[in-house]
Amino acid sequence: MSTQLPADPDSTSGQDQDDSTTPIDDTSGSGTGDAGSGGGTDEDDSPSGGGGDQDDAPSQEGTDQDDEPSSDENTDVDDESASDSDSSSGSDDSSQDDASGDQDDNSDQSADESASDSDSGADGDTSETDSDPDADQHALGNADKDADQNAGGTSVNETSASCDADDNPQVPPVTPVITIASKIVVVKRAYTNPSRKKVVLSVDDASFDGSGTLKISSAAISFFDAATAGNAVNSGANFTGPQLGAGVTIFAEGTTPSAAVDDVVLTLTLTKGSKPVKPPATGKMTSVRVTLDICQSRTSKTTPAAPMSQGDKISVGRFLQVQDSNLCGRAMLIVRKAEPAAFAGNLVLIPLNAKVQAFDKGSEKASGQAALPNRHVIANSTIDKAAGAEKWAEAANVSGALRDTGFQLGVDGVDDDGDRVVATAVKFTNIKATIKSTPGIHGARVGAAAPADHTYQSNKISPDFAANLPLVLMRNGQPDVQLVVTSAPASLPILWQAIRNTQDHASLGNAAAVPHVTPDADVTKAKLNTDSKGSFRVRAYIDCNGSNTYNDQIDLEPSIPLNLVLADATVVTDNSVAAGPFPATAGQPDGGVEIANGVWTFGSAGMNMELLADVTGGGSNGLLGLDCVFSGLVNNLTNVDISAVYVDSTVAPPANHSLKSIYVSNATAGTGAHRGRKLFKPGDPAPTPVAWPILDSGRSPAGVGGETATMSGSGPHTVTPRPVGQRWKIQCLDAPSRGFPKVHPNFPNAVLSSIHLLWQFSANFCFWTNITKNRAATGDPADRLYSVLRIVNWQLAGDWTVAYPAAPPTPPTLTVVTAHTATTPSRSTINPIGRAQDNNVEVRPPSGIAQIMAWDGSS
Amino acid sequence: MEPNSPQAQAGAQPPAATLPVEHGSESELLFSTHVFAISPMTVDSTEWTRGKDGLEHREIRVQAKLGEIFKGKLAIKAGDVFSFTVYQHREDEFFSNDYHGLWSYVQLQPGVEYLIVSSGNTNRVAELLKEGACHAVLDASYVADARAAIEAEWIYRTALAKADEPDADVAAASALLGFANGQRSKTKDLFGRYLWARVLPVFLHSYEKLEAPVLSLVLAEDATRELRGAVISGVYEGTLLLEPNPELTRAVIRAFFSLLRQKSAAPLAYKLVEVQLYNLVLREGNVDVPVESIYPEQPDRDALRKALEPFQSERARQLSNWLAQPVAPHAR
Repeated sequence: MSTQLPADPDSTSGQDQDDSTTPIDDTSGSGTGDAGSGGGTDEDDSPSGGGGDQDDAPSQEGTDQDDEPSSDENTDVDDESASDSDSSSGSDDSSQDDASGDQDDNSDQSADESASDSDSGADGDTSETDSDPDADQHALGNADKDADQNAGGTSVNETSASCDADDNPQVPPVTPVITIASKIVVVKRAYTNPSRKKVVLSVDDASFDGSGTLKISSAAISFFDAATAGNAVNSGANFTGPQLGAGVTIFAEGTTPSAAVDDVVLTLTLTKGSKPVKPPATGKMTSVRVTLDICQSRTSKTTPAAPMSQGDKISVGRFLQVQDSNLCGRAMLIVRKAEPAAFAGNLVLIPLNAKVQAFDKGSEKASGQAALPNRHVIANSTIDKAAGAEKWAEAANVSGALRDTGFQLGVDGVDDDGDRVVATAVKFTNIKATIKSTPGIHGARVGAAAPADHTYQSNKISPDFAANLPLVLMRNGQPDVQLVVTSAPASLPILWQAIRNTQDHASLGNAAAVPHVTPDADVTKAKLNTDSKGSFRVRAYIDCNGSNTYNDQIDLEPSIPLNLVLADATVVTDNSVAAGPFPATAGQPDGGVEIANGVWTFGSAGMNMELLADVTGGGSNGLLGLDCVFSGLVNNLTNVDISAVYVDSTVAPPANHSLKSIYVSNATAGTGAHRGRKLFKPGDPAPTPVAWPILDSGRSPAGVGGETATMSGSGPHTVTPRPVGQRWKIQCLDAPSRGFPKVHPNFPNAVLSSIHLLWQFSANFCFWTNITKNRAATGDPADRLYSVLRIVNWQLAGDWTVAYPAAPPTPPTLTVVTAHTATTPSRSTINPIGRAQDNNVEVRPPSGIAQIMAWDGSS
Repeated sequence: MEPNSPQAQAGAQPPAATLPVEHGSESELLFSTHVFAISPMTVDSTEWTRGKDGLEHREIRVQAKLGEIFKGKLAIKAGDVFSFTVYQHREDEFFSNDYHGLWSYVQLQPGVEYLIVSSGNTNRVAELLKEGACHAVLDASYVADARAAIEAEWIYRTALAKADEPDADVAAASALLGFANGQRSKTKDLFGRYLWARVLPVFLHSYEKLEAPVLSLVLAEDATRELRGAVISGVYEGTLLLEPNPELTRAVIRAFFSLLRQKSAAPLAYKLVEVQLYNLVLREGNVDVPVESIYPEQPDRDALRKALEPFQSERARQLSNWLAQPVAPHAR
């Protein structure tokens, strides 16, 4: 592309084509250049560069013919042209020129013809490369052949040319020629590299032995002696005749925007040598500055998006989230009106690569909305000077590195690299949450490994709790849930924030009442403290407005949420009650004695445990997530001292022997057996007690998650609706018993004499969650994480002496020494609900019944 | 028979005289799918044998005759004989730590009628009697509860169907309570829980219209202990749901305290003291209930303190202390 001529508002369309193809020297460019705006010829320019040369010739010839009669006429014509330049030249071309001129005026036809027979092809770059020499040669050729004509056709030639009239008319004067590859140059910014535009200074006589001086009217365009780097060519630069004869190529680079179109005037004035010279040649150029802004995300829906600073738009760039299901935000692009405002060409907005694309509309991506073409052309004349033209940037494919994409804005047909905004296309893949399970109070005990952590992975970016199901945990369930976000590219400046679901009922908390999220040094990680209640979105995000906060529901900053529900439970009433006074204990017909504590039906059990609790999840009705919340009674043995004394009266003095219910870690060391349990006999290793508290679930397996930590008599809660949340009734019953045989299992002569009962346990109303909505132990988050709301400490007590009649098998007579009672020495509420381990609640095996209970009859 | 009972209105087009299945209800008669009676003819047990789980197990093989069907469809009809097997588990004859399922604590007796409450997507009786499906095995006295509930449901639905009447639900609940009053001497807690499941939703928005008949039922000395107990629990929980409502709370406290002085309510007194009264008056976090707002007269308080004397618990002592607060001058 030899020339890119901008649209001239004064020009006619017919001239546009001429101009686009005849910019090559000042003589034609000044006259037809004004008329010949490049507007509308963006795509035609490339092919027409070659064709233009051909087309121009007749036109110039026509003009030349008109001008030929005398230099005075030239001057006159020039003056006329100067005074009536744009319109008259256009009208002249269209109305007076010959057929060739008409053809020239037919821009489409000309362009087509040019394209068809030109070697420049459609590729702009190739065309430019190819055409530049042509243009130079052509200009020089014209100058050589038609110096007068060129001069005559140069309406802008400053003509004090009559000075040459004194010279020998037999020696044609030397004509200065300025050949401008592009009248428009794009202002270079520190971070852009628009190509410098060639300007050739020459004369039409290679033997010229005078000199020439270049005058540059404005600093808006700088000139250099090389396409890149090189030395500045300043106003006043002198060139020798041989240099001009050979042609001096200088390169134009926009420095500042022109104050007006064509306000940079180059004047090449020749100083005669042995030959007379024509008046100076002039050429006009315009330095155009384009500006592309990209906006930050907004901090308020009522506040317009603020453009990033000129520094930040390059050094920081905008982070855009790769679009997914129309859930990712766009950034506003603002194409500013090019300077000078009167510049009538087209601007072109171009994605730097396929990682981003531009749209006409912002906000959510409408279904089926198509991206703008990769070269989106915007007429500068249509751009509002104050507001610019709004477009919207969206990420389409993830970046490989920070700031590896963005957009550039150029002048269509001149250079694409007028301004840039940089972007990073971000992709968030998932957030993984690692939730510690409730450990054993005493760590991992024999036969029971420490519980594995739960892991939960949120793979969706939808904020919708129905589409992107939440992780449900109990309030205060854990203070250190490890969050890790997977994202690309590396080194994203990720922040973390928990945001309350705006749908939450006010009673669940305000916007400030959110769980604490503490970022790790590695910004891809954070710790979540579940110290709140309600529903939330814990977001890993990129701050795109400097607010250092995720501006929820305003613009969509790049982000992925971990949808989270923190369920809460509060005590309404603890209705736990003992059955009342126990009936008297009687001996069995076989001589044994069983100490029973009620029967296993509700209301008749020794201990009837019941809690009314108000339970809330999230959302407007407090029900969100409650289908993943479960409750039950976790029973812990806290002290069991149940024993009997047997007396052997066959020896003197009578010997006492003990039979004791024990909970030991070495039950297998007992070499005897008693009622299905190991029995420690004399000589056996000493029993090794298991430290209290001990889980007492009665389930098998016990303590592996979900309801397996609860008593077998603890079933699902019942529900009464509440305005917010639900009222749960959690029930359990307990009616344990212990019996002793008449005769000691290790000492056949020893007979039951007394029984001591002290049975202490804590009834813990606990909660856990399971995202699969399953009460059983499935291993899903977070069925191994227990919280406790209410603890009722129970005590069963009683002492009896046992007496046998002389004649068996008459049942023994029991005498109460200490009343047989079931009491609740203490009750406590954990408010707010807290972790099981913080309240000495054992939820891990071994369970007291199945694995570790034995009898000690060793002494 | 009630004048508007399903039998009396057989010629009309009354609502079906059946109990619906309402999952999540606190009433067994409503959340279950089947309610029927059985009469075991033979009950055979295997020997207890200890399993790998450390527990002892045995089978109970039963041949029984199907009795009246109150809810749900069965593959056999009343009078048909069928067999079923259930399992029992225990730690030891003299050793019991945990609950091992419904059947482990049921000792069926041949020739005795039982009411079965169960749930299952089947019409096979043996399936409905399995552990997990079977919710309750009740003695024959509860047959009256099932019958009463069916009739009550018809009354309730009939009243509720008069949608053009304002407060149709209040009328329906009132009709139910009226019916329950007529049945109070023969129905028990099974019916009581059904009754309250129906009354509670109305009570929550119109308690002032139901308070009197409800408390009347609670105080009725000729009502069965079990029915009164169920209604007491219902009123208690309903009052908690309506808190803060000092007027209702005072009325319920007054009614519950008065039960302590009723000989017929003696079996209910322990729980009233330990649970309902204590929680309504003194539970932690409760809104202060001034004693003078309920019992401004000293003699009333003294009488109630005397009624609390048999209860030697900490909660009884706290209630007594509450009653012992000096009467404020303005309260007289």
